Amino acid sequence: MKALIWKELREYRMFLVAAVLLLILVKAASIILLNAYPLHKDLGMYFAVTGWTVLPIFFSFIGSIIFTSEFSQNTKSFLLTKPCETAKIFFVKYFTGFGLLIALDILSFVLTDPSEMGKKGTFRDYAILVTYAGSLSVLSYSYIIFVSLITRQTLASIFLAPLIVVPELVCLCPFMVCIYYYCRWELVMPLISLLLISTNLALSYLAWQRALVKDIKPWKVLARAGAIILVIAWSFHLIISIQSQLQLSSAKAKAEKAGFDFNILDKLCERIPDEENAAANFREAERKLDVIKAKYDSSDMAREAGNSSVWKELRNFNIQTDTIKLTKEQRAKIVKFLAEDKEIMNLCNFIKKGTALKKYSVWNDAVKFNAFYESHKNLKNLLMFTECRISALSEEGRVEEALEAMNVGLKMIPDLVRLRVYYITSSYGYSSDYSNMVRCLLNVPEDPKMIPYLKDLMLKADDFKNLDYIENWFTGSVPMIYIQYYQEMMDARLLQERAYVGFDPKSARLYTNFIVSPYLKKDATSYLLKSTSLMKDFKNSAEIKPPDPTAFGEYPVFGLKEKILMNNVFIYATDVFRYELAYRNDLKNTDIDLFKLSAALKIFKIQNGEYPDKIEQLVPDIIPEIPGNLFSKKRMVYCRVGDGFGISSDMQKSWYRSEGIYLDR
Amino acid sequence: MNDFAISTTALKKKYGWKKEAVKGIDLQVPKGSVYVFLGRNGAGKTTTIKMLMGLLARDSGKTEVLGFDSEKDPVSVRSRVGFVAENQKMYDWMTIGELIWFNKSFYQTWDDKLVDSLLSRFKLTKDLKLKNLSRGMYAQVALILALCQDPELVILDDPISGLDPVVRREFMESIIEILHEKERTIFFSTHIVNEVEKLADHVGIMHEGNLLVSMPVEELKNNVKKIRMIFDDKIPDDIAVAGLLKKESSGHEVSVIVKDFKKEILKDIADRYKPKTSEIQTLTIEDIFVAMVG
Repeated sequence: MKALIWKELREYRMFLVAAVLLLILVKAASIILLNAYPLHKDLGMYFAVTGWTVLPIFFSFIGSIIFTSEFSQNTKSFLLTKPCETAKIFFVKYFTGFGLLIALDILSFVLTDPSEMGKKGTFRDYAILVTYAGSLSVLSYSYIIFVSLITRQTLASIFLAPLIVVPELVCLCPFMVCIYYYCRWELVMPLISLLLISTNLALSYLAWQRALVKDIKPWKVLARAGAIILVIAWSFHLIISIQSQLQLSSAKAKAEKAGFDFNILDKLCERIPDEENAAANFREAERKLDVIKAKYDSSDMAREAGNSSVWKELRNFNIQTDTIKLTKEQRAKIVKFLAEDKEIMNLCNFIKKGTALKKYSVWNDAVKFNAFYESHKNLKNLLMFTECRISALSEEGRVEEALEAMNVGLKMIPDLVRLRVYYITSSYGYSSDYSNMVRCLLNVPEDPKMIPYLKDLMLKADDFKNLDYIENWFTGSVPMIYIQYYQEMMDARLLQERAYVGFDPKSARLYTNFIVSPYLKKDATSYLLKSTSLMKDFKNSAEIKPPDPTAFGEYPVFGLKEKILMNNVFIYATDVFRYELAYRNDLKNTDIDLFKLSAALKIFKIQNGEYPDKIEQLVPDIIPEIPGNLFSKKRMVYCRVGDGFGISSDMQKSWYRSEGIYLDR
Repeated sequence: MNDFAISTTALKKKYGWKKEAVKGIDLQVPKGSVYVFLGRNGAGKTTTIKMLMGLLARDSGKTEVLGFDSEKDPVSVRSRVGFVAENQKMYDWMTIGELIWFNKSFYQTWDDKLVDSLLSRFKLTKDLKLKNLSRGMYAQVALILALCQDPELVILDDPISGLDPVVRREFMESIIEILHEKERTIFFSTHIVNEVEKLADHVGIMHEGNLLVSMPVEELKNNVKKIRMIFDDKIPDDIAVAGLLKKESSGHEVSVIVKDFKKEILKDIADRYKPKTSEIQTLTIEDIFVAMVG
């Protein structure tokens, strides 16, 4: 073996020397040019990349000579008649070249300083680059060796090597996808490279052994080996597909037994009386919204506001949240505009007829996820308008109309919540939309005539307790999460793989459904089993404690595989949901208490000309007692903020929502 | 252990679907013999030798070399066989010294003294690069490598083809001298017959994939004879002799070459065709070869 290794090293020593010299030359050039142009930040990176990739690839081309030279110089029979196993000769040749390549790779990495990359990379970034560059050169080497043993010509092997890549990838695709889904992302590229290199090594050995000794034509060896790999790989894929389907079916059966309703979507959509008409209505609503937006843009208010951020917020209908930022003049204009606008009046009337979900083109279309999102956004905008309108009518003192507008808004909320269930994972159950809306009723003029109206509102507030659109959604929500994530992953994968496949969407879809789907099913099975477990816990547990907000840490988006992300989000979503559901009534009561207190504070201001310094001043003339916090049993926090006031429950400090109410007058 | 250095049974090899290179030959090469394996170009000699060396898989039959199955245990065969291929190419970038060192590492037995002696006999030095050698010198180096491993059997696959007559003679003389020094089995494949005549003690003749004859030289020479007949008058048209390989006529003279020669044939000819004179001539191997495959 020593003699064989010596022979290879001796034969290609000039190439080796040339390669090392070239490396040193690249290094020297980088030092000189970096000193000459220190501000050219990408220069170092160019040299680093040159050193890391070009040289090893160059050497891998040289590597092709290791075998072809025996054919071109006709020395193979001399070598093969030595008393040495042909396998040994093959592996010595192969791994001598391989070792040299690795040595050259390492040398090129050592000579290239990572700080020359133009930015400070972490070791991890650097390691990944090294892995990728190293894998690339070793892969090239293995392909060229393989092809060189088929063609037995150096030049042909270099040019034909890329052509062998695609058919081999098709053959090995199932294994590669398997690696992609089951391994940490840092290991994906090295392991796929290892798979390809091993395959190429095996094929090269076959080509060497079978073609040389068994006298089988190289292309026959290639065809036979390719057929065997194809059958093995795709049989493996078939087994994985069947297994994943069985696992999913089993998980579904368990989930159904635990109480999941997989037909919840159909059932929800059954509530829509006239789907076609509902969809048409919705489109009409969208069109009207656009008209309103255009009207806003062309108004005097828009011209005055210009491109200010306040106007942009207004333009996006986030009026409520930014009201306190407006000047009085701006606010007066908006109020007038909203109160008198016929389009909005018409829109509200239109909404009375009811909006609905679009059942069709939802699940069958890759854009369904966006459709839910868009629908929700539009409906939310309509609700914002309604809130603004309630606020504006209240300020005008047109309380009857304000109450009527609120009833219109309340009709929207069930659909809004329903839509939200489809696309927002963390917003299951409780909705604060109605509490946001009713507090707009408090923006009445500071006129003593309004006091009876406000007192009446305080009494009516208890009616809000009956606004319950949430409870029955639970059993539907969890499978929704499962279905949603499954679909979402399919769509995300589809979009992502469009880039990979590089063809039309149909090809991407075929790839996704045919190759990726078993793994998505496995993930879906995992989610479903988790949700089944959670469902059982939920049913069995008497007391549910709020989740620890710190336990979730940062949202695990970057640097992890999707499935890890999905699992975390799933637990996050379901736990929050459980918490919200468990405390749903308490939250609602807190909202009602806050509303009552706000109304009382408004009455106090009408009577005394300003808000009280302390909340206790409301007792006993306006309210009999100050409601305590439901959780801490302490009094609610009250303070005056500018001309207005702020009031909050201790839930305000909670990590997931704010229960505070801020009014500016 | 049998007494044959090489033994094949019904050995067959086909290239592709149609071309049958070797058609089931039974070849026995006695140990210690100098076996000359004759055949025209494309007769199947090299294919047979490749199978003997385990460089080519046989289609059917058996190949035993020094008691080892050459396909199943090629390493054992190669470690005991010195081999020089037709137009042997070696690593031209090596010096003779490097090549000898490289070659030596593969063998348990290696005769350094013989290397030096052969080098001096061939007037070669170790620092010469192979690429600078003449064809004759190149063949001599190949021969040194084949012999210095102290092989039990030397297989020479047409090593003299392409050499000019002077070099060829020099090469053959070297082989004869070396053979006299140590008794080995030599299996010499060639189509240049006259050069190997004085070397051979066994002969095998391949033709179109078949082994026509395989026997000791003397036996072959006794077996194949030339009968020269001179007639007074016209030569009879219907001269037919058992085992007739070749017939030549010129004027009143007719020569026939027959195999499986027996003295009765001469009597039979005399009775049937009544030639004026008839005589038996012993042929050279070349004549026999030409008569059989020409």
